[in-house]
Amino acid sequence: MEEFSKDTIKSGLETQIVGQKIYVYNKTASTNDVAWSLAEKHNSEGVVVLTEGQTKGRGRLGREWFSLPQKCVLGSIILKSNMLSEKLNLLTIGTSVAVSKAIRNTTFLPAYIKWPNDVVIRGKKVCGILTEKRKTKTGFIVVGFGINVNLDAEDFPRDLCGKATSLKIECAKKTSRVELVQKVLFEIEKMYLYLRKGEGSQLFDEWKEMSSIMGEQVRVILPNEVAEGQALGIDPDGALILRLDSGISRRITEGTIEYAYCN
Amino acid sequence: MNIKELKEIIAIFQEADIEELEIEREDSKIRLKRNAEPEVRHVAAQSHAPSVAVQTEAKKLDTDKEEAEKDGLIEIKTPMVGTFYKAPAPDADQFVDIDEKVNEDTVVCIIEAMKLMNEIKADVKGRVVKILVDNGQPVEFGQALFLVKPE
Repeated sequence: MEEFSKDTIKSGLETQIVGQKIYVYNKTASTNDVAWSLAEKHNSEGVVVLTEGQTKGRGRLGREWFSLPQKCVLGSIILKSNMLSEKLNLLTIGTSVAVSKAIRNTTFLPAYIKWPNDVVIRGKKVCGILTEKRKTKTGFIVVGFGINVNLDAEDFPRDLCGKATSLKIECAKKTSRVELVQKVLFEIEKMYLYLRKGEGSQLFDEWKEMSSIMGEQVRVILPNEVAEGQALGIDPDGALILRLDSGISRRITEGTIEYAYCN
Repeated sequence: MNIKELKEIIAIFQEADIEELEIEREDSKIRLKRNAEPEVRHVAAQSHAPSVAVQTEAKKLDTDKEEAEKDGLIEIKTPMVGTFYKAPAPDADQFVDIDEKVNEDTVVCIIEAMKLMNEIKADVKGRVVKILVDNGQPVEFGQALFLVKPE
């Protein structure tokens, strides 16, 4: 079996900032939490935390994130938020672009983004991203991601059936987790540097190209209602622009897309 | 008047051939006016929305504010548009409760904006007197979330 370690990942890693320090754990509570404690300790951006197993892996709103050792890529990256001005949402969107590109380049699978930042293949989720900003003096931001790499269909709990997939299920062979992580880190750094230089527009073109919902009729579940319409695109702040059936354009900054027709 | 009603009114207004519309009810007052340059108050982050200026005057919010000022209470406001969460997870304890003491660094809630979880700190030392929004409720820029009696 391929060795998934700091050394194997660093060998051949083409980055300047992201991944200059890498920690690989066998088991942690949540990589985002570990990253936060490291951020305070090291005071440096680009530190990467990876783990084989999470006892408290979580998604949005503390929802549990399912994973199995040796079959997933679970990680968090410490980035510096004050370099990115107010456009922090773009970091979340940018990470989904980066992961989709990394998956496409590694597996040639049709990875697409479901707004705002889920990565899906043929409509099923393959990667989740959780970005956290805490009010610390150091101004860090932690981007966490979980990618289903070599999970088999029978590995998934029943409630994820039909909703989640893995790279192995989609391309019928194993993917090198080392190669995938290297490409993810490379693409995240590229995106991070774009944002730091204020060149976010580059991201929008890529996001549009990789969006699973552009031009499609979608249904968005909002906190108190449901909005239906055609997805027109995203605005410079990353909000989804929906043309409602009544013809009015509406700007959506929250909610979950219930279904999206995927390529 | 709830957000849904407000949105419906805006939608009707946009389609109708009228310049200005004012509706007054017991609890709220809303005035819509067509404008070339959108000017937005209370409804934040609408700069890319259609060119309708929205001015809402929710009397309830004003009452809360007046009450707060009278009693020397301080509001903890949200610095962004998003969804308010009073706990880190649905089954977890909430960050703070009524009567609980907070200081400048106490995390009081999370505001989620497009899957970015932003911790909000109290930035004030005192005791929580009132929580003004419900869990999972959308909040607008600058909206008061908590009332705190400073100590």
